[in-house]
Amino acid sequence: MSEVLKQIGEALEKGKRKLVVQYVQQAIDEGIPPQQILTEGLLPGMDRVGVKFRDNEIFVPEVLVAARAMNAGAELLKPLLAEAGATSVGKIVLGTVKGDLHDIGKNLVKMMMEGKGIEVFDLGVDVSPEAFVQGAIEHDADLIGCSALLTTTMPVMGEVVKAAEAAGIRDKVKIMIGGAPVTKEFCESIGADAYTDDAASAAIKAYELLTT
Amino acid sequence: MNSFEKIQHCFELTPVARRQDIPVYPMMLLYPGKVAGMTQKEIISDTDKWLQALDITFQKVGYPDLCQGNGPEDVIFLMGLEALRPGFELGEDESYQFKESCHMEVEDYQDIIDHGYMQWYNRYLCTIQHPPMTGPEMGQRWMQVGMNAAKVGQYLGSHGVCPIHGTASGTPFDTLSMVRSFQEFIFDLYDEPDLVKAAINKGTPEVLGNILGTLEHSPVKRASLYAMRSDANSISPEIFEEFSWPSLKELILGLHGAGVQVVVHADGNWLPMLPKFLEVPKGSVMIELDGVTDIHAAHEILKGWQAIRGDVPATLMAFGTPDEVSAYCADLVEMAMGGGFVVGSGCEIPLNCKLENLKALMDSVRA
Repeated sequence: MSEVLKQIGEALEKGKRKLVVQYVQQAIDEGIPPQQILTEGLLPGMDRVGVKFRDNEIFVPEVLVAARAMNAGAELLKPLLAEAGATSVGKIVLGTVKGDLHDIGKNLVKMMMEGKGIEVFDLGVDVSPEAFVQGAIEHDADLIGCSALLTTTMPVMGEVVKAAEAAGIRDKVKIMIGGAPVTKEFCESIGADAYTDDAASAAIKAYELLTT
Repeated sequence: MNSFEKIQHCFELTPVARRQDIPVYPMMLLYPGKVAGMTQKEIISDTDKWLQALDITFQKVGYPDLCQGNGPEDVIFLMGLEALRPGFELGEDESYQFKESCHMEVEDYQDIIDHGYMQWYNRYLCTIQHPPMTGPEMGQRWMQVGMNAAKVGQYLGSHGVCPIHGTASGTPFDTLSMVRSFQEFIFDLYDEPDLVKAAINKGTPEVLGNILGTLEHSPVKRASLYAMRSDANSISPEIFEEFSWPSLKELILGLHGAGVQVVVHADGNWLPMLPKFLEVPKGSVMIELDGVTDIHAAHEILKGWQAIRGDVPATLMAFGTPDEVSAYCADLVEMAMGGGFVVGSGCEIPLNCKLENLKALMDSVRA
């Protein structure tokens, strides 16, 4: 592996935004294809961050600064990747369910998923079941991700499952749920496909669902 | 023992002889409205209505030993975040929700350092009220909080229930995290660490003075500190130690030195942070856990040194059965018999709690 790709990953792990930008630019200048810079530089770095977070070796702040560094590097690559016609691992529409305005956890999931090369369409907060389904159809998404922080809004996740069934897309999209009060048992009770209890595990699970 | 004695014993960490001597505290801000058939709009805009709803709820499930010292409208105010309110920005019977957005710039840290924390905080508070307030109006609002607290205290006292606090405040670290917004604040910790630290250092003695000043007029010499952004779901133990704990410790020591008991409202995972509470005097703090921190591990760390309140999870109260709640509480009661433990809800009783589950929680130490 090129030295600069290794340096990108290492700088990203440490959340060194300016260094990541510098190394990504260097890699571009050296003529390394943008897809390779992404898959062998940025994504492995973010992968290691995700694993450390899942294993409680690092905490949310380290993830946030790493994601910020990743985004800064990815910005440089975006036009080049578009030119080369590169595609993502898969697509997810993500949002906090109707009646719930909390988005810190959802935003973290978004960053971790982007760090796995997943294309995320963030529908924001207070998202109705119909809007989740509409978003999934519109973006041709493979996954729907629902977040909730309130026990009173958790049942909306079940409505998302039903809305996906009613729209005839249930066999095409997998539905993931999460949030502080959500449990595996609740996930099973509403017929969703996956529950994870932290953002890193959500990204790992989403990647698994998209690639197997 | 009466409720007051139970709380004193709890802070003194004295083992209890009977299950009935364990204090019980289901934190209820919004739920009484549902029990009493009142809308959220009604109970959130009127402390008298909230007290009526509270009384109806207590009559159904029994009187607890501890209760919120402020009604919902004042708790929201004291939390210091912009709230969307039922009947106004939300449906009449929906739960209020905080709307987190960035309300300060990096330059505000310097303003705090140069001109003081409370002047900045009060100015910020004015901007997030509906409608925004002037300085004198904000002064009146603070007085209203005090008058409402006196009213709540009078009601609770007449029923032998202790208010959890005489006043409450966010710590500077947690307040800055909320006002700046979580992500921006985290970036500030990396990009401008000295500035953030200096602002926290400036704010801590001012917050302490503010709490002590308020408590001068309260018979309840107990203060709650809201520290919901200092947990391990939000920050690392290293950040806690460098930025949050010095200020929190200073507040605890200052309050304890003035004879004030401290309640730290500690939502999220506090396990890696809890050993720090062994650095402050024995019996100075009660830590309120919400079901996310492993309460057995927390008890192992804190037993014999600080008190705990917890922690029946909101999910269990909403979706569990009375038998499941009873089983969960039986486990808490076993720990509580050793002293220094209040059996209670993890954070707040959720709006969709089943009444029979709340009864099961109360009965765990009463029946």
